[in-house]
Amino acid sequence: MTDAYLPIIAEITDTRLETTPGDRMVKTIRVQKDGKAPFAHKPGQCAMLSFFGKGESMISIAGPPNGQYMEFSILLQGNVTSGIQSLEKGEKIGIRGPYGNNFPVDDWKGKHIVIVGGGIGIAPLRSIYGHVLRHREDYAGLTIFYGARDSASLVYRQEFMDILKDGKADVRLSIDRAEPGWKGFVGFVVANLAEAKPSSVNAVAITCGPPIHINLTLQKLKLLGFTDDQVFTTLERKMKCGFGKCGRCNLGHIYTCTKGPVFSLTELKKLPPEGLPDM
Amino acid sequence: MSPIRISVEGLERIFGGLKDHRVLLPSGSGKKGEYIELTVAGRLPRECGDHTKPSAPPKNIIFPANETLLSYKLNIDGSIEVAQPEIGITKTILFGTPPCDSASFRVLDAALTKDIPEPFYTKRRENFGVIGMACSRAGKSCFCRSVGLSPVSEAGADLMAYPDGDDFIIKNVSGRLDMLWTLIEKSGEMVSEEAFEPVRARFDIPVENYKFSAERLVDAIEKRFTDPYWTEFSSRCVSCGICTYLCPTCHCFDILDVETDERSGTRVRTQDTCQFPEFTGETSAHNPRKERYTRQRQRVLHKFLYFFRNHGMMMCTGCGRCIRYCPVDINIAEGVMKLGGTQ
Repeated sequence: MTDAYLPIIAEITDTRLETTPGDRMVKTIRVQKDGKAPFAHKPGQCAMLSFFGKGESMISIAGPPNGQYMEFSILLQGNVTSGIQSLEKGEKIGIRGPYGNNFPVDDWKGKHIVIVGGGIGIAPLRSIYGHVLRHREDYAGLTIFYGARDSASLVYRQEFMDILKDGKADVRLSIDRAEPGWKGFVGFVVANLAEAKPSSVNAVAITCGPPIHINLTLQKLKLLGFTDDQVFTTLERKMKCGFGKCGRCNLGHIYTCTKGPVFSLTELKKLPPEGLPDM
Repeated sequence: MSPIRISVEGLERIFGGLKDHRVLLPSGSGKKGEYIELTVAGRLPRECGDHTKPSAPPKNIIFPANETLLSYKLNIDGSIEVAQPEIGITKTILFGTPPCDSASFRVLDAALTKDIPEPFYTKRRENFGVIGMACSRAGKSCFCRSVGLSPVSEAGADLMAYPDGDDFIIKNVSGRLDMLWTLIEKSGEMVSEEAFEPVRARFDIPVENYKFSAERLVDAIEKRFTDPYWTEFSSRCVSCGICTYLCPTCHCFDILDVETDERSGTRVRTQDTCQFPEFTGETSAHNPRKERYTRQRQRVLHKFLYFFRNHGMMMCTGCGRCIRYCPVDINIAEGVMKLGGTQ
């Protein structure tokens, strides 16, 4: 019982730089404990990662459970994330979790899944499309809208190319400004969404990204006929304990670390509009 | 179980003979007030009221402001050692606690021991008992009756002492302090309910300040989330956090690493406050409670709406510390009355 704060010491068994190096670079780390995933989790759940000496950060687990490993895609932001980014393959890391609720992927069986990701917001969504791709026959379809400022900032770029090649999903990548050689969409993700006009019939849309991305996406999904029950997001909040005690990640009476971070738009609209996207 | 009449000296003898317990008493109000240890052959307070209530709330006795959660060592070979400290436990009895402070433990229990419990508080709580005392004097910041408590409420108390001349009449409230209760039963005499009632009634005094209905407030306050009054309520606030640090029920905390050297250090839990912008400020610069009024609103709503939703009780015991010690006279009771709690 006394180990609620105690991280498991796990090993980093792989790292990938997802973007070009720089002050907003993204690095994916693969974490294992004795050759397996440190613990079981569900799509959309988070884990608290330790960089000892600097502290902990709550990071969403980037991918569905596979029993073998967990991956985290870390955006360079502060002390902890820069510490974690400095870790190399073979080094140790502290991890505790899993925390929070999950995307209701089983309830979505038979539906068309529409992913609308912006920037690093694609990381938590990877747990959904990863799950859907693995159980593709359970779902009516999968469309992924994903964009970043420029092509070098697109996370999981090669992975998306491979998905496209397999033909298991409709992947629509975008970058904000034109670049020589870029064959995808140019403009904001929401403009890409507006042009493609995915049907809301028997569909659910899940969005994550910077606040402006979520704002615009919610407005556009509404115009496309998506009801509040058909729209989901996952929220970022400062978290310290992860188990509903430290008191800071609340939205009204709900602690995001235990009853979130995944919310349908219907659920969000019942909560006080504090620091939320315009709905 | 009938109440027991025991002389003050009789109870002092019992406490004096407790080998493995410490007994803590309120030292009196004022800025230097805290709960201090009863010395051997020490005297017990014979009354309790706003004038005996320490400025420091009793929460810190089992939920200290700073606490080491773990220590870590980064070895040269790349391995990491993490060790948990022993939870320092001293069996503790709090005596003479005013009902507002006793009730704070009912709140903290609800906040910290459910679902995944806060391990350090929960462990210490098992070895911690509260002997409340009926309150004979309400201060001008007191408003216990508005939050469902009173000078004779027994919420959070394990035993309850009612002063009566040179005696206490003691009621067994929770059954948690059976060992002590047995000693009290042996040294004292049973009192009939008929004889006890007039003693109890003597303390059932009115509290005239800030009369509002916390229950009615719940419905009213929810509709006023975007009310312009929040700005007025918090306009003088200097975000010092005293209202939360001295609050017997506020329990929010931060966790941070303290490096001893490059290869070792500790991770500590430390008292935090919703009044600081950093409390919710994310590294990305997004902050859901950037404005000062949003932080005071969080304090009030956590106490009178959110906590009630989650636990069926108010996260406020009406002790009045936040009113008395606020450097700019922000008054939560006046605030909630304006926000719809007026009777």
